[in-house]
Amino acid sequence: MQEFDVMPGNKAVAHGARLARVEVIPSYPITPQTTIVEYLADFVANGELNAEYIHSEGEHSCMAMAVGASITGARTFTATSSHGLAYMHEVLIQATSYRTPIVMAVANRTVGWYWCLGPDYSDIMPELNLGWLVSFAESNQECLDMVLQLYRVCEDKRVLLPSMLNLDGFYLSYSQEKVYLPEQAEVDGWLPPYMAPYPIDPTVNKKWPAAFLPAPLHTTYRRLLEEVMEDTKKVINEVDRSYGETFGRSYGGLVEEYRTEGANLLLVAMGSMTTAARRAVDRLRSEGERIGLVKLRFMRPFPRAEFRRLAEQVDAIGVVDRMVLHGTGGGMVFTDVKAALYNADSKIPVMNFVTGLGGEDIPIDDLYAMGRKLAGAARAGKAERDVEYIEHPFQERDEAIHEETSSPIYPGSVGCAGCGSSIIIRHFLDVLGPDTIIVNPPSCSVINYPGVSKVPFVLANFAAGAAYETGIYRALKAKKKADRVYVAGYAGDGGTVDIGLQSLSATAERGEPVIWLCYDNEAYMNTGVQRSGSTPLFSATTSTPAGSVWKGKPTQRKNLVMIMAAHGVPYLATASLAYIQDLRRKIRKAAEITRAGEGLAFLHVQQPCATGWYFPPEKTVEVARLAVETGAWPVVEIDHGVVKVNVKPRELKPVSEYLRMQGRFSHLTDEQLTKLQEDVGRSWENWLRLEKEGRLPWYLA
Amino acid sequence: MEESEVKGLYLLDSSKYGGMYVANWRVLKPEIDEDACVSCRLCIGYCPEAAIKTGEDGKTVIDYRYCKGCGVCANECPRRAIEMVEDG
Repeated sequence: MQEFDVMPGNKAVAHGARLARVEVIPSYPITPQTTIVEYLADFVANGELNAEYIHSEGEHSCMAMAVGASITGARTFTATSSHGLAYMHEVLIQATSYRTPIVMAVANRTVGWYWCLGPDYSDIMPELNLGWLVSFAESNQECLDMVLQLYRVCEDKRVLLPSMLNLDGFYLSYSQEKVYLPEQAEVDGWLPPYMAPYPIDPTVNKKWPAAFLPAPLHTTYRRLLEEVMEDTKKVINEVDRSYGETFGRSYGGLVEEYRTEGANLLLVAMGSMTTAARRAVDRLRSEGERIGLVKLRFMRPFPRAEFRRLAEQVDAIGVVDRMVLHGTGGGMVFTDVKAALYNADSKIPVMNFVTGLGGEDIPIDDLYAMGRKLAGAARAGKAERDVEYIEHPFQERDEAIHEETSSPIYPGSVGCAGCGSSIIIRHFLDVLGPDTIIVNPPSCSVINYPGVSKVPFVLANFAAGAAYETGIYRALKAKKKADRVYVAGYAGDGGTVDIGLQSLSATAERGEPVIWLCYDNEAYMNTGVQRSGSTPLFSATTSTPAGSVWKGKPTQRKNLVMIMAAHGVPYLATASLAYIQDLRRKIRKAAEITRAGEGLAFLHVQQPCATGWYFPPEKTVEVARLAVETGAWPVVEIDHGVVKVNVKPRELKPVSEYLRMQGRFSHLTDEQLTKLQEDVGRSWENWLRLEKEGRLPWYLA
Repeated sequence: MEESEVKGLYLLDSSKYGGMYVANWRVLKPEIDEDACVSCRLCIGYCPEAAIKTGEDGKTVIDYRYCKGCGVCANECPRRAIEMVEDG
């Protein structure tokens, strides 16, 4: 009897990866995938999984790490969603030609277009045709089972291709279901370790997957990849049968048929909507309609033969689609189903129901109504309309309190109680005034402030905040308005020191006169407290937990001030929300520097986060003040290379006074505490020395 | 939906925006002791929600519609003039 537990889909995926004994796990947080890599971090931190866990600085690198690990011969797992998947795109292509059997979970979420957290297949749609296997899970159990199945399929020499396992964000990723956990020994017997046929290991091998292919061979090798995709169909069905024999669960391979016996109508569904579709089919059957359901488990390779066979049996097919292929006049699966049937003998109506976009629920009643329409089309021998959009009424609620305020930002927000970021941005906008354009890469502030802001809040892509600023500034310049409007970036530490650094660095180097304010809460707070390049040494986060093996983050944070100083920016400063007048003065100074066209002005403001640092919300300012008073957060500025320490406590308090207020440091050992105290002392002395020396030597006049 | 001259373009009309009512987040609420308050305005600068302002008579007042009850003001008040009390 297998053990079971009740768990969300993301945990089932993580258990699948653990049981598969994955060897390398590159990670990067993004909703609604993040908890998959958090659970895996927990497994590794506590010695339940022996794997190399990599904290990447963005999804492009995350996938590059996965490809690198896989071509070197390691069983590799990662997970992503939405914009993260889109940002991987270039590397995903490379994964195919290098024949890397990576398994990646994609917790589906709408890709912006208009940003939204709800699931639809707009994220997977652009990645369908790259040579990856693309499968969809209906339940949390299927998530776990498919991670194991996919490794067996992908590592088969007849296949040797990467695969994506799609699970609907929220509906599966965060919803709890009963999941049976196979025994490790049983999995080990069924899924042997990965032996790469041609690892790029010069100690064992002289042949490696090529990066280049002569032009005349491209047609041939594309044809060969298509043949591999055809062969893969057999392997998928084989592996599913074998899994069923060993573990007692199988899913039908490429497709699962539900009540298709004697059916003359066929509904096509996929992912989590399938469960509701089963109930709709049951209801229609009980009313005498001969309707069946096909659950599309693999989009790639596409089960063409299965659809041709089923089309011979039925009078009409209705495809439920959670994404539109813009410009084709229909949905994602609809197009493929029609293409599969066109050269076949049967000419039956194929209808398309586009629904559930942005994560809208697809209720049983809607699916039932689709079945009824399908029955009508079958009787008439044609569909009234090819494509139907199932839309639900939307009532916008006006809850805003309309009262004039002097600040460009209205009171109240959806941020956490006691949010330090709110304190910072209110002063930021208050000083800059109404003629300001805020550029904001993904972070808590993207959720919190656009809804209460009188100024434009441009949501930038995560890796490109400062590039958005550049474009906006240059357009203002072209329109002779650069001296009237401030271009101000407002970003967290992830959007500044990790994924956003390349764009910020180039913007500083080009001397674009724009402001960048990094509110540094020292982790990825918006996705639930994962470590960033700005997370301090030993800090526990959800991706660097303190466990039996791990003891918090093992490495030092980046020295962001010195990184920016190395660019020679005309003005940069650190600030603390506990020292409001100092903060406001620095914002004013940054505004003056950019108005004068001197170049980028950079502000680095520490933002204690009650939610992620684990302290009571009323302590936000107190923690910020202690960071300054202990020397953990020096308040300094570098004005045209001249260093000044703005806040100098007569005597620094012991750093433990600051650390002990925060749950993220509650695991500290005496040795760790001593180390942190020494680091603070050294950093403080460095600042005093730099101030004494005056101008930083690499600032050229 | 906002009126747009461009078909299919969803607009954000900032002129329809305003303050956000968050009073229902609150468990405890801050109360200012007017006799102890010296109108130093520190709490105004520290309030994450901009819920505290200077009233017409120069006194510091809390607009409870915007107060989540985080307690930062009470924690920071140098005169201990703000107390967090049960929000009845």
